[in-house]
Amino acid sequence: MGSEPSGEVYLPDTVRTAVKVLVVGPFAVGKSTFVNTLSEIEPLHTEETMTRDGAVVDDLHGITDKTTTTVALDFGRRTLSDRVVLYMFGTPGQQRFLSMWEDLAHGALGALVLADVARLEDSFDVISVLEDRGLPYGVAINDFNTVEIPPHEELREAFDLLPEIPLVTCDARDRSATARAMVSLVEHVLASPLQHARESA
Amino acid sequence: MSTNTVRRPELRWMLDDVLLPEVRSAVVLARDGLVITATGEISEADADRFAACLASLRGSSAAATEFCGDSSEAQPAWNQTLIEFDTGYIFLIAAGPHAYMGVSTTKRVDMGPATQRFHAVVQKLGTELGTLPRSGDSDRS
Repeated sequence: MGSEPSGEVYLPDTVRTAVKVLVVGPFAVGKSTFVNTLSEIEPLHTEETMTRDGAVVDDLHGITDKTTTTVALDFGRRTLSDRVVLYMFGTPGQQRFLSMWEDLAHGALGALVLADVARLEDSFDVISVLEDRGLPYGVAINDFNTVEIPPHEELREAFDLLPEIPLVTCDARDRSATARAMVSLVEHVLASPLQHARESA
Repeated sequence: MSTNTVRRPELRWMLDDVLLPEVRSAVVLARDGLVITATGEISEADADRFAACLASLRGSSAAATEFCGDSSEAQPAWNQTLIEFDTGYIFLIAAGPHAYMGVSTTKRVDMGPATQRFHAVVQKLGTELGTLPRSGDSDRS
């Protein structure tokens, strides 16, 4: 962790491709942490303190030290190579915020779905929204180092993932692991035939 | 200034017209939250962050139209959002198809002439942005 050289803060004077991606996933899966870790600029957060009233709706499943939750978005930027600059938009995980997705998803080329092995099924909703929109996605299991991660074949089966959809395990606090997760998604997006179909539409 | 597929720095002169006294900075962004051009006292990284924040604000604003209309009518169109702080205002105004302009001012800004100028600028920008390519489409192989 942290051994990797930090990315450049100013964009150099070359031709760049802006790649907009969403970072999605259920409540309290680590989306803000992921964007925080990977961003080369100071990330933007819209966090609010969680209220007692919300406890009925937002089940923390034993996560006791979480006191804030994203209400609008997280934003971060990361230069992946000389040519690709990643713009990451993290979206709130709760179902009641889905109506705001329309704008945030606009122009996105792909989405990285974060999932927690202890509650995989919580990521199913967001995956079906992405499939309905025809947005290419990859799945990253956030490894909290607390439970053993099942073999990838089992996870693929649980998510019912097509073979070409990337599945990676990463610790959202680890800079190179989060970068690898993003690279797997970007490679998938660039290889996706759907993308070309949408462009010509 | 970088030349990625979204940015159109050549539009900056048009945006410069919003720089009245007490205006801090302004950003024109595409619907996807990426910067088209920016002016005033703002770094490139902060323009990126401001634009992302404005895109989210616009998304929330648009979602609120549902609560501001007659149920028998079609959904009302969103035109602008104004935020007031102790230290100033942020204006977010529609600027042509799928583009918006955000302006940050101090509290001392003269509201009348300022909003008139902002709307004149979005009119001009709107005409120019009619030809804006969809973000990310033109330079990916």
